[in-house]
Amino acid sequence: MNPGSRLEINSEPSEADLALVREFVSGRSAAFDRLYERRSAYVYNICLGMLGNPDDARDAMQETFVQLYRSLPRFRGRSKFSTWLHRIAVNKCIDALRGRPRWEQAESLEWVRGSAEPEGDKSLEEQVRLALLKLKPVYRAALVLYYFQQMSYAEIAESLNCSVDLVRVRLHRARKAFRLLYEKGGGKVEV
Amino acid sequence: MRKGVARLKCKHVADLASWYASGELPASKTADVEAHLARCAACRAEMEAMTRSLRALEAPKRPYEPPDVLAAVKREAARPGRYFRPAFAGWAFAGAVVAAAVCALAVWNPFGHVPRETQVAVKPPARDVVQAPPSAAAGTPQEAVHADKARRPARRIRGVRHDRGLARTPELPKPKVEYLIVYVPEPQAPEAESPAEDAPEIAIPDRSSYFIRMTDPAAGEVTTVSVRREIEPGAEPRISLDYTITKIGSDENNDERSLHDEELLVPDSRSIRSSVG
Repeated sequence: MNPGSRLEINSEPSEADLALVREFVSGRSAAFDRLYERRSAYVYNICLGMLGNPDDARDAMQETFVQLYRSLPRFRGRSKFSTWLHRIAVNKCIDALRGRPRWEQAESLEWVRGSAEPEGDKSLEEQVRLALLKLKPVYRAALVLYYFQQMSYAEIAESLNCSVDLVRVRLHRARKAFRLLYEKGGGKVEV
Repeated sequence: MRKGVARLKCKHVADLASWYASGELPASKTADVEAHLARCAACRAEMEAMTRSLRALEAPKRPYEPPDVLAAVKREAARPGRYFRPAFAGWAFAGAVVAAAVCALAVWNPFGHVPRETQVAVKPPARDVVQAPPSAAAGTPQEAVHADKARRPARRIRGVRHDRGLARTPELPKPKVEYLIVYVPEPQAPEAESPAEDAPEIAIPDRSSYFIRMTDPAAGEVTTVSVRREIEPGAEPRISLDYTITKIGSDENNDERSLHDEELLVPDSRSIRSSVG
């Protein structure tokens, strides 16, 4: 698959987001509620993919929106609102991971093992998430944004505040590391 | 082997495996990798493992419903903090802070209540002060350095004189002290010791009702006295007084002003005595 041809699934019209931002800055606080409704699920799943358990993901999501609330007056529209929001969320997750003691990781592993899926192959997603938990934060971020959130290289570069070439390198190394962890975790399920 | 195909080694193919499995390898390299895979079973197994892991990543994931933290977000964001910057305050907020600081300094002098005309510059106690050399030219950086040293006393540490030339916080300008302008009413009679007892008598004219308003700027109050003189045939005239105290600047009842009233300025607004003539 050529990444250049990847659809920008998150390229839903950003004019709606910009209009809500302008409304909020002009004093209508209800606009923030609508921004939250539009983006909360997306942000939560980024945080869940990066942190691996719902409690940490909830905290990171809350911190993301708190910072968004405070920073919205300074948003100038130079980048897409979604990528700006993702950058905040990813940074919050990376900060949380850096400050996390080792014993807390066991909670994430337990949650991944215990999360039940109503349909589909439970072990496949479980294996993927378990392997992701053992990756370095920047590698985990690259994989989550590319495979879980279906973002393009350019969007990931904006979200991680780095160049597209660096994103390629990180994805490459992340895939190599993930492959070893996935196979080690018994990920031999055929897709 | 095809012409133009490079003979790759296993370590090269291992390095290119993730790009090949994700379809991002350029066509020229793809041919080289496929040529190697055709003859190397170990690399084929590695490539299959890499493909499996990437397919697992690409498999659709169950989206999880987010918890509702909107109320908590707004509560947290409303708390003033380092990054709190409400959109609607802006310069008005900054101006209010500056104005409050100026008013506070105007009223409260943290350096002591020094009358304006007696204000003097407060100098630090003289210690080992480095004297500026007389040869320093005016307005040069050297003079600025020496002037700065002249202000700063040198520190003595273990008998050795040190002047570390550390940068100092510039001295803050001394606040300008001004007295509040207070309207002082007419002084009381020197012999009056108890205002309550020696308050001037107010003669109530021969009217059925009388209205007195006394302004006491010191207390910031206006005392309004309504005097009613009731005269009944065959009975002693009765004087009834009703007074209310209101703060200066509050709304006045214009209807009362239309009554007979006089404004008096008395030292003590609460002590009036009437005499019935």
